[in-house]
Amino acid sequence: MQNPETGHQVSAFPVTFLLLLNLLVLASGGLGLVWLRQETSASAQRSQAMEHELALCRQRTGAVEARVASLTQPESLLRLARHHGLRLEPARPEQWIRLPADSIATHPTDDLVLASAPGAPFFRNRERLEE
Amino acid sequence: MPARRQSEDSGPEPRRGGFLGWRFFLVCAVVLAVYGGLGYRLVQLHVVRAPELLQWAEDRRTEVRRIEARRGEIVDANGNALATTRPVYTIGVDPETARSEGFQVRSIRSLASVLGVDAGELRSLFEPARREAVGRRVRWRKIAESVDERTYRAVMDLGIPGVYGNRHFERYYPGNGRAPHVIGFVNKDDQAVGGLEQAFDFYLTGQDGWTESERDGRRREMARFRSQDIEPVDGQNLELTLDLYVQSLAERELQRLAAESPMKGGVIIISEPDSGYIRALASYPSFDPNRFWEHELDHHRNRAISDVFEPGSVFKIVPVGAALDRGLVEADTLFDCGASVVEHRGRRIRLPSDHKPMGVIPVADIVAQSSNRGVAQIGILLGEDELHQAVRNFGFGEETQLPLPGEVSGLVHPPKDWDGLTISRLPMGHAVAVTPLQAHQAMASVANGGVRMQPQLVRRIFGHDGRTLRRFDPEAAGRSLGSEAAAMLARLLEATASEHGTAARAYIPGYRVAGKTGTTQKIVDGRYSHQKHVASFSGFFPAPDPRFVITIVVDEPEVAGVGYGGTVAAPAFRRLAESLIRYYAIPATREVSTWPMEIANESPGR
Repeated sequence: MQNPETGHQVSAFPVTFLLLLNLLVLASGGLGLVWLRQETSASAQRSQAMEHELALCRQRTGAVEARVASLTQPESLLRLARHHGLRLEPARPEQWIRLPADSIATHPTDDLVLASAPGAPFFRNRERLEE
Repeated sequence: MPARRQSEDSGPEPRRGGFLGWRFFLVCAVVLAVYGGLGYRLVQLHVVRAPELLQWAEDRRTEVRRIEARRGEIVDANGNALATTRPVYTIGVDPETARSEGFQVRSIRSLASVLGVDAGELRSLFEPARREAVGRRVRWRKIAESVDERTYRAVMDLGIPGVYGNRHFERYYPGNGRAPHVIGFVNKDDQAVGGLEQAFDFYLTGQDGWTESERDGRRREMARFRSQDIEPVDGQNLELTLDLYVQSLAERELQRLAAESPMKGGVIIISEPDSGYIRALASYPSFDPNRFWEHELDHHRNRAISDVFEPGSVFKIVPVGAALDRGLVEADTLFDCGASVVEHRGRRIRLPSDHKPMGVIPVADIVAQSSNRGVAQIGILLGEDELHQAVRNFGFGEETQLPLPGEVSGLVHPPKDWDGLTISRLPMGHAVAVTPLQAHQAMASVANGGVRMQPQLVRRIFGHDGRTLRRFDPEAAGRSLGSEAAAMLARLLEATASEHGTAARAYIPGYRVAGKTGTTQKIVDGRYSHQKHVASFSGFFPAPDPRFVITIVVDEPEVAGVGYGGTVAAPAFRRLAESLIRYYAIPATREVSTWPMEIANESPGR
């Protein structure tokens, strides 16, 4: 290429190079922008999906808590016990052994109190006491 | 060329040029008109209607979504949920989609089976129709509401086209009728109605969150354009002083009483005298807050705080306690209960009658045998002003400040409004109207050495991390009696709840029980009725260091004869006390004498 004013030959390479560089920067910038937007969109969608999952977990937790609360009601437990034939029921008065508070304090362990009660169930210290 | 010449000769040129000119101008005019129209439209859209259309576009594109906050839970003293929030679904159908995508009649039967609705009615909901008013096709018909998660999943698994559910949170009371008068409920409009739900609505209600974003043509949110994202803040939780098991005991006892002898109403209150913590508060008739609309409004009333009754003999603790406190009488002071008339301030006052002749008896026997004449004479001894002051000291005539809506203060007339008989009738619990809770608090103050504690239903308010935001510690509301007088009165009440007193059926072998029965004739058409009574018993155990105060009030029990407090309410007290002994493992107490005469001999004046 020739400079029209000076008549010297001028290399076209730098101009072409700068032109191509500009085009490259513009193209990669554009592609980068598209990529950025896609990533933003994908992240937003992932975040939305997680939010949805969390909300679902929250709902299910709420439902489970309500169910547990319902099952732990005294009436529910009694119904379940009857249903499974567990024969669990409050102690009858004849099963009670009444001891004044101060007499309990004189005994070293609860086992000893049980041992002194007539018809008390088997316990680990019975043999030792009988000795 | 000849042709051209010919045309020049014939001379139609000016006409043709005029026609072309006309056509040209016509086309130009049309084009201009079209452009003018377009320009006008553009100006109209972009200038004249611009703000309106911009707003419209913004509204169509922008989506503001509310994120519902979860209402706080209400739990008992042990952390068992009494009120919680659960997700539920409203199931509906779009008849147009169901028809266009084809549905099987068999599927409808399955759906009816899952939801427990009538298949015929369900079938009609699937029929396409038009809304006459707007001329549009019906795109949504409700099939069922308040459907739980499990049922919703079962419905979705059927895969019926056009059938879907909308989720929302709903208040749920797992006890299905446990302590409804204390807890209250939340109605269909999400309004808290009654009970602690209403009283603590400020804390229980959370703060809804919201998001603002854009949506696409199919109305799906475009998350990347979300501009606002405000998280919801769930409501705070309440921890009550109630114990679910004790509440259950109280409610079952009321049901048992109602089954044994039908009654108009009933109340059971169980509390700890030293803290004022209420462990159970049951009112009959009751209701299920999950289905509150199915019950009469009358059942929603908390009779423990909203109903008043003439307390009858339960009230006798007031004049006797006050007379002991002021040193006017001792446990062994004798009164002539055979006298029917006494003189007071120069006037002869006729005394009320007793259920049996009693003669001259000490104060200890007046309490144990519930002598009306004896207690009337004690009231006269106190005088109008002292008696009125004693009534106020026990907390009657004012609200207990329990944090529940609907409490009434009862009725205590000032002495200036008393008639000639009031001084002799008030001591036996007539001419005064009290709530069951007031009567309970009066007895609790005797059990607590004369200190009246503020009744408490809520122990603390806490967040979701368990952190306490506000604690309600025991608080004294006043003093009804001096500690010595309270201790003596408690001993006298032990005689009442023994084989020697009117509440022998409240006695528990091995435990020192103190209490007072009450049997009141109701006023019907301005007269005391012989058929309609209020039976009551208020007592505590184990003396002298009571763990629990229990009050039972039964309104109009239908029993053969008179429904006495000693025969109707006292046995219920015993059953409840025995259950509490088992549940809390309360140790037995040393036996002491319950003979009124022997108690009288313990009097410090001797």
